[in-house]
Amino acid sequence: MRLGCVTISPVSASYEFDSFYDQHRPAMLRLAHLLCGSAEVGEEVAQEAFLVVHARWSTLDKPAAYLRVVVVNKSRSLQRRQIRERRHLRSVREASSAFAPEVDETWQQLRILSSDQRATIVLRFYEDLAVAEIAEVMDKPIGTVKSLLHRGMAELKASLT
Amino acid sequence: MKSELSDSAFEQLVRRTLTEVAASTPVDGPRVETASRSTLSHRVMSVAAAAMLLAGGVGIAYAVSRQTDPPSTADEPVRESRPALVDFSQTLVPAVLPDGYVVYTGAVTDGRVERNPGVEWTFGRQDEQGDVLPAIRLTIAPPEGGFCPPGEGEPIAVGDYPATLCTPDSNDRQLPFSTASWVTNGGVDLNVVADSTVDPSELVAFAAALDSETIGSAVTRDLVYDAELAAQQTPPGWELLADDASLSTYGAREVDFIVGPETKTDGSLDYIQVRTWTSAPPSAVYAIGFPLAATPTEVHGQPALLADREPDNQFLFWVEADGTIVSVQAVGEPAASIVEFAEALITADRQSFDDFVADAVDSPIRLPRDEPANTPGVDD
Repeated sequence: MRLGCVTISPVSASYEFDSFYDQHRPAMLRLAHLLCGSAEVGEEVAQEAFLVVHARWSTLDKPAAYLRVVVVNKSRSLQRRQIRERRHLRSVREASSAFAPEVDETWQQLRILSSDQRATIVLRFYEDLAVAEIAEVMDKPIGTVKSLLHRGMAELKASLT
Repeated sequence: MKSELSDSAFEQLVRRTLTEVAASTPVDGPRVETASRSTLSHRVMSVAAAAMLLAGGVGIAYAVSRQTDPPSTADEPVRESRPALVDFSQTLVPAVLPDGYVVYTGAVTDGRVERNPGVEWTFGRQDEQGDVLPAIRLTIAPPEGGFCPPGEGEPIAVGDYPATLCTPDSNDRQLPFSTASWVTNGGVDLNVVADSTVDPSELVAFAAALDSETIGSAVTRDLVYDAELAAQQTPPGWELLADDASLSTYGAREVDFIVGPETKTDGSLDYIQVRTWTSAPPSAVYAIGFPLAATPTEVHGQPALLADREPDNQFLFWVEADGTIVSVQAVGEPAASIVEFAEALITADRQSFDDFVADAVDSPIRLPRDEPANTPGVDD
């Protein structure tokens, strides 16, 4: 098994993955929560992403970067396949009584943006990625990312009346 | 009230919202035991089994590709989070080759199709069930000189542009599509093509909402993606579903083969190519870029479209079954009519396909080395 330039045994690899999992699980749960608009769905997405990483563990030089791409892609894919859920999200508010009203309202509107718009906003303003980095993660041209970001923020702002 | 915020204040609100929501994510709750490699392997296989059930469960071979990271999502199924599946229960081969024909080549490819230079975008809108279905395609410089043959269609206006509208009722071929075509001031052909769910008046409204000059000028500068900014000025309810012609982005896998005469008498290139895409969602149909100016016909009892305007380059296309799209292209003067050839195709399992291409003239067959034959596996 190859990790960087170090050859390690399967036992060591298993230990490495366990450490990787423990280290990155909280951050991926949070990211998937934001991308999916639901903590429960986000947990499933994050879990599936770890399974993908585990299956390819021996081939990955940058597993953390790969994990983030998989989480983003799975979240976007899930949203595209579950358009009905977006309808559902319009009528069901995630339990969020702990938030200040303006945060709660912003979050509810963020949840019903398109998956691509929300992903660009989350990656830009939560992950603090540059537009070029977002384009790489989402496999989209920079112009498209700029458009998604601009349009998503405009729609979000307009919805907060 | 928030809409009156300055841009910077609004960004701060968004950052604060994301940070607070993320902080509320339960991360200390019960966790699935993923720390054990054996447990993980078991779960991976469970996912594979579930995928098999979803895909039909019979005769599925999973293409196992080694991937470096970070993944190149442009041609990897992970973009759609779908395993790369080759469903050989839906793959077709000829029962009998035409007289004098041999197999030139056969392959499992990555599912990509040739991308037209420029715009090839697919738009959809929600139906009554809430599903977003593709219904309109925007393209430039179509093959065959235009979707609407000369002398057919009716003159209309798309915004300030003179245009031609073809509907099933306004052309001799009764095309199953409506098209509107116009030329920008910069000389770029733009075409929107809609299926039968879109009323021609809706199609014209859609076309008029586009920023034609921006799209056209961007195309001529080869900055097609900047044109997407303009394309997103679509009427309410429409969404951009696909911005290229790559079936791999839909998780589809392609099996193709080419057959042709063993002896070429005059140096011309005659051949028939059959491409089968499996594990393709319905929206993938719109990524193929098949000729839309085609005549309806039938193959295997399924509706099919035949583009035969050029006698030496025919194209036949149909949906064989849910998730399976087939195209047959006949170039030159094939020994069999393209429809007859298509009708004679039969379903092949993996072994049958391997046997069929084993003696291909143009070896090697491009089958991935690590793809298991008739053995379910998992790639994702």
